[in-house]
Amino acid sequence: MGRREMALAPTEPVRLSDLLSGTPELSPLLRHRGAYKVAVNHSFVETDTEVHHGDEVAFLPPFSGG
Amino acid sequence: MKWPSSLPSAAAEAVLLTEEALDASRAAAFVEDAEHGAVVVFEGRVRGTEKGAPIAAIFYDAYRGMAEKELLAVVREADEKWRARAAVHHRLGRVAVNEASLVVAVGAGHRAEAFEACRWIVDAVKSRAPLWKISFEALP
Repeated sequence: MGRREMALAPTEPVRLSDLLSGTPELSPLLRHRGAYKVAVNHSFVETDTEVHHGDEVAFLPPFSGG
Repeated sequence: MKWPSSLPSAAAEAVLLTEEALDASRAAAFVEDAEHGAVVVFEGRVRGTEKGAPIAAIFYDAYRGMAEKELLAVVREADEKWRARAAVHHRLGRVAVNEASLVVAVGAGHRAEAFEACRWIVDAVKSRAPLWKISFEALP
């Protein structure tokens, strides 16, 4: 989405998909679900997990290190 | 010299992300052990062309804390699979042609485990660690 990081402050636990759909800057990610991996607090998550206030969520494009 | 790291100090030399030039001998020193009859050191270097076009350098970026955590997991898995001690050092920022972007050093009892573990680690670094070539710098 062209930005490195942003801060959100959900008042209660929220599913990742709801967080994306409710945040205009992030909602385009819903249309490109296979194009990135998701990590919460530095661990990969495979499913539409619930995130909490204070969690660090990362959307990671295909890796190209090495 | 000290590099900033979020890992415990005992692991700092096993995994290293740095803007400074990599030193393969430093990685090799980490895996030195009287029980290791084989030490394999791999250097991945920046080629002078990318998709057919000449380049001067590649810029690397990382999601740093997670990359360190994932690389340490790779090192630990290699230890479990082959009883191999490994060091994984990856360069960040601008890396010029011919310079190393990745150094993997592996020490093991015998050459078969050392070669196999080294190849597996290099593949794992590429597929599992949140690291990116963020851009190529064309020749002037």
